[in-house]
Amino acid sequence: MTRPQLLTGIVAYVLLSAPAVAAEPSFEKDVLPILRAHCVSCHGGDKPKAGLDLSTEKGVTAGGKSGAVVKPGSLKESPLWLNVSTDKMPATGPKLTDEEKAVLRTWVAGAKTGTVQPVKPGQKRGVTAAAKAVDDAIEARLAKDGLKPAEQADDSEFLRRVYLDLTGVVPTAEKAVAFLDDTSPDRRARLIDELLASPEHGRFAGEQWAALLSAEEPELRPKLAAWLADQFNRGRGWNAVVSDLIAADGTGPETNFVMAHAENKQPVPEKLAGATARLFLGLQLQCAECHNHPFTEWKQTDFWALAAFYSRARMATKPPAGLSDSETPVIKLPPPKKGEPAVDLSGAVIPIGANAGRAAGKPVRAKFLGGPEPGLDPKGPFRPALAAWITAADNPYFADATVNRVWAELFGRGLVNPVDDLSPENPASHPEVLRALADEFRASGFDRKHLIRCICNSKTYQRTSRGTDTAGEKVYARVPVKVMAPGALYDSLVRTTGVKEVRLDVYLPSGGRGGVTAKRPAREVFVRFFGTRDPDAPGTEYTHGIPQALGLLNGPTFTRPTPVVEQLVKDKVMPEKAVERLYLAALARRPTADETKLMTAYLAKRTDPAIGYAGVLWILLNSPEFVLIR
Amino acid sequence: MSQLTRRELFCLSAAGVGGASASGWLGALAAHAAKPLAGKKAKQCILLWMDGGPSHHDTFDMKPDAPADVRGEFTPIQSSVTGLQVTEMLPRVAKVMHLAAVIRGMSTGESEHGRARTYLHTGYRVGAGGLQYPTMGSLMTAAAGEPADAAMPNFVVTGTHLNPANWSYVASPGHLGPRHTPLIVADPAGGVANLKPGVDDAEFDDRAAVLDQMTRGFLRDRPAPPAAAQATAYQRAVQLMRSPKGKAFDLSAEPLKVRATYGDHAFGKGCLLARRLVEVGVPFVEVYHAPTPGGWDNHTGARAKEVKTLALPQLDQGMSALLADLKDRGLLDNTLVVWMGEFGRTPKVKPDGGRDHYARAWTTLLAGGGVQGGAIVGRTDKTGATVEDRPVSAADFMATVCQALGVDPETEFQVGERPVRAVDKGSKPLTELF
Repeated sequence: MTRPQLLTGIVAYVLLSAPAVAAEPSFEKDVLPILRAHCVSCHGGDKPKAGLDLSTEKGVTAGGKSGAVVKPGSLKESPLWLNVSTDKMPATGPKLTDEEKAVLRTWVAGAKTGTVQPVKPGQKRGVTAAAKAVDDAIEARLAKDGLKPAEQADDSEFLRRVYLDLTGVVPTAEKAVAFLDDTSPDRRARLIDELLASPEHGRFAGEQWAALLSAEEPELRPKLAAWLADQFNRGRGWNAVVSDLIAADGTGPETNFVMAHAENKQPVPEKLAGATARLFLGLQLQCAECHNHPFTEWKQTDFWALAAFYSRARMATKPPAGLSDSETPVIKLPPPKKGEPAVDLSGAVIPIGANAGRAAGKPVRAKFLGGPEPGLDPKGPFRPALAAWITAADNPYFADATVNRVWAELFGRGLVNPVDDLSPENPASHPEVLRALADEFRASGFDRKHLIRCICNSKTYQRTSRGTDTAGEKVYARVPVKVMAPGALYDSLVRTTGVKEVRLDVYLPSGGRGGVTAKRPAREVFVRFFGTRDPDAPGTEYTHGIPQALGLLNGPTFTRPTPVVEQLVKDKVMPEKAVERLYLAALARRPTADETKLMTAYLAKRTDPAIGYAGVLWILLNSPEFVLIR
Repeated sequence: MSQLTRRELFCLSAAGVGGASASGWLGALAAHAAKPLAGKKAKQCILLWMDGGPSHHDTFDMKPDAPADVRGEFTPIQSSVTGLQVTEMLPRVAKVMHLAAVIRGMSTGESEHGRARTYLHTGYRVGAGGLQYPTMGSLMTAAAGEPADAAMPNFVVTGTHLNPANWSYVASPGHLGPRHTPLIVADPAGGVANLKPGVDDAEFDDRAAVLDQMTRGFLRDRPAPPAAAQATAYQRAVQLMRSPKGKAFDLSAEPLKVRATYGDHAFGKGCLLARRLVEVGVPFVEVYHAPTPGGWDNHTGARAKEVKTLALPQLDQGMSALLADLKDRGLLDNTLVVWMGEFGRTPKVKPDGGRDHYARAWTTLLAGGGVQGGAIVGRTDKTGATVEDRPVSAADFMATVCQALGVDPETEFQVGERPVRAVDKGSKPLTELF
């Protein structure tokens, strides 16, 4: 993209947040008063001229005797606009002012879906309205593509999905029964609230985010995950959390984001710049480390200007130990050659790295991306200024980037993909959804739970995943099937079977430190072993291989009778009832009649019920329905 | 859904797996997965990795005329190739040198373990282009396309004492993604973890038949890519369990005499496992040789003693057995064997008998796969300190391996929006070897 286009983007954003000029005029508030003032004296009342009634939205949509007067999105095919813009209309009375024409023009041109109503900044729409905004935009797009939305998911499909998406674990059999037998109309909304309020929600979200924030340093992950879990569960704004991560000082667990981008225990500004842009702003800036970005407008200096905010972040080894912005820059230059002036490295400035191409060594001053150079105290610290800029309500990227990631957590992929590549060249599949949710997220004070609540209460999220057409899935005619994260798989196996731990007799396959598994907690070994997917890859990708499949098929935990099986034997339940209990525990649903027949036929051949029930459980745990989120 | 009889299950299986079992575990899917490669037989590769960096002076580029503090403690012996001497520590390898080519002009400039291990495994310097590059086995098998035999993994890594701090370079598929992660067999004699069913075969078959029904039902309602991928992974796992080829992982099936020839140590067993896997068609096997956590990293006299008493004799036994065995079985023409570490050692021996890291001039070997046996390419100076003829970079070396395996070094992989070459631009393969 070119520089002017970016500016347009920012201007558009500013317009959107300023109430004086509506970027998306509403018919009621903005358009109707103009029509009333100029048009309805003729095109209204009992006998509107030319059969055209401009006094209501319905009338405008219906058009007159000669046909439609507004073709949403096309000025050239909208007689209303053509006649007004050329002053052919109004035939009598004053013509429209330029301002009035501008409103009408924007309304006709922007009325692509005509559904998403803008909100005033700082004012929440609320869950129901925000969910409806999502649904309206999704359904408008489906209608445009000539696709029918799938039916709503049944209760068991919704139950298991929302449990896994919000808490990273399947519901217990008891919970499944209670929910499936609940007939109150608000049971789904109540379940969403209940799960968001449970400590499992923060724990699960914390684990996911810790993996992103410390991708290359698994050893730092547990402390970071615990800290994040607490932030999420306390309902702190995402802006406050991110601010703490970027500006972290001292020895607290929040320093582990900065320390996860270090070498020899010292933060590396260029690693931090790349991660900051990707994770908090949804921008892929890392190419610009070494050269101007080939596909976007980002320049090498933009990258290093961001890195400059991290130029003094150091870990003190002597007391007072801990992370802080020191007075010495991290990167030191070799002494200048004869005749060359020494590079001034005072203040928030960083030399372009030695391996970063021709411009290596050139000093770059801290500057906000696409924004101004901040007035920084040359003594520092600099990171708080960066944190404040990124998490400010008017940051042009932060809300969009976060909404896109949360959408991806719930639907397996973002409205923009890759999730960290928000740029005009890579537009969102549903820009209206992204904008509506970003507005809502911003207005809520970056309340992540509120954002999730809005999405989960939508019809879009609650559709079935059943279906065979591939076109429909991309535009959310139905919900994509996702794969459980490794931690969710572990916790679900434990909850389903009742075992204390799932121990795998394996060697860790990839990455990080610690090849030997013996002394590590079973869950950690399992998560690392099943952690075959890049944390940024779509949740719709199944990446387990032969070793993982063998671990579940033949691993030591499930070949022995597990507590859930022992209980069934002890209770001496009928085979049909046992099959139902196992289905509820593993899949949060009751078996179909055919499945009951299939499983009881299998059981009938087993003299020892413990072997039989263990077999049924083994089948369910290894079926795609278990590891997938349908 | 109706209950299928055992006989019907058997009919299903006939369409696909063709394994020894009577059950039709995802038989219909197997028909898609097991497409044989079109055209000629693909080349295979065994990488023998000498972790820590072996001295060229003490192995295949001896300098007997240099001063005592350069030539070191070992005496050269004549090999099976006229004019080629090797260290007295490798008497068995000396007898098969006519099968191998010696590359004496390695000059790679990276003398820090981590960076050099990655550089030699990927052909790219650490951090180049802001990407992580695939390790050699991932690269070669990805470039060659889908494996001919879906039941077997196409890249296996074996060997104990994988350096726990830095070992991802051996197994990292880099930008190719986790699909190209190798199967790791940490203990070559231990086989693949969890390969045997936890219940008896008949019970396993019965369970698998019902699982098959469940899987089909799910795929019918939701034929989504992750569901198909899950079914494929499970199918490959079960095929491996049932495949007679899965027995290739079981070293105990090998006659005692053969096992004794390879040697009763991790490296010898790794070499034997590599031969067994290559024999059943696995395209790439890496055997990691570091008998102690220090491996070949002989900075001190004590470390030098470990190399002398463990690393060198085990190398002698394992590699000589492997080359001779591959030759005897007619596998060598089609199998490239690579011997290398991450760098060489300093020409000067330190007072305590150790040598430090040295990347400006060092040696690797290639054998089989169409490489001219007995060739010597490149030359170092009198002290083994600089390359005087035919310098070879890590990228040149990677391009040479590509050429031997029939892989185009200019193969491009799409990484996001960016095309990334298999081997970096400007690399020159050692064409004179073929």
